[in-house]
Amino acid sequence: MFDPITAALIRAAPALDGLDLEGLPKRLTSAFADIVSARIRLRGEAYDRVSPELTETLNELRRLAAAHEAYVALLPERENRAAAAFVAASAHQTCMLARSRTNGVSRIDATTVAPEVCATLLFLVAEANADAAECAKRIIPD
Amino acid sequence: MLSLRSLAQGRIIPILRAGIPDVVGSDADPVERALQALQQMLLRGVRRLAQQLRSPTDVAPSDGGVEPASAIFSQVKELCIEPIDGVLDADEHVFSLFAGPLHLANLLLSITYLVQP
Repeated sequence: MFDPITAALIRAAPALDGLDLEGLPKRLTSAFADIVSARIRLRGEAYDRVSPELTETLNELRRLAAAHEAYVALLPERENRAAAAFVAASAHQTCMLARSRTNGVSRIDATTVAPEVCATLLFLVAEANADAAECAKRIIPD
Repeated sequence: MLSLRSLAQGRIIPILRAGIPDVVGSDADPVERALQALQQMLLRGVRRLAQQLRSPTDVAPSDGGVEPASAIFSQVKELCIEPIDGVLDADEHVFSLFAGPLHLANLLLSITYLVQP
C-alpha cells in the first residue's frame, strides 16, 4: 500500500514500547486489508458483528493514532513530527474505514475533535497534501 | 469545518471570502458561548493561515504587519486552560480544559510551522 518513500517516513516515527517500527508499514497495510475485507463481508450488517480479531486491530490502530497524535500536538518541534503525523493520520483513516457512513456531521465540541478532522490536519502536518485533500472529503460541515 | 476542509483541499479563496459567524447571545449556556467564542478565534486563525499561504512574506507585527496565525492559535491554547486552585496539595496542579478546541489549536499550530520562514 505504501511506496518506498512513504514506508521510510513511517519507519521514522517516534519509537514506542512494543511497537515494531520496521514492520509498521506492513502492519498498517494488513489492518487496512482486514478492515476492507470485513466491510465487504458484512455489507450493511451491523458493525457490532465484527470479529474479536478485527476489534483488536481497531483498538491497536486507535492506540497508535492517539500516541502519535499526542507527539504532534504536544511536541510540534520534534524532528520526526512529519513521520508521527503520517502514522497517526493513516491509523485514523484506516479506523474510519470500519465506521458506518451515517455518523452525521463532523463535530468539535468542548472535549473532542472528530477523527476525520484530526486525520486531515495530521496529513497536512506530514505534508502529505494529496492524502489530506482526500481525507478532507470525510469532513461534513454542519 | 468548511474552512478546515477547504484548507486541506488547497481552496484558499473560499476561506478568505467566508464570513465569521457571531457568538450566540448572552442568554445561552455559558459553556456553549465559550465554545463558540473559541471556535470563532480558531476560524480567524485559519483565515490568517490562508492569508499567509497566499502571501508568505509577512511583515512583523512590530513593523505594522498583522499578527500571524500561530499567535492566534497560541492565544486559543491559553484561553482553553484554566488552573483550579485549592483542590490538591500546593505542588500538584489541577486544570480545567476545553480539550477539543485546545487539541485543534495544537494541530493547527503544528501546521503553521510549515509556513514560517
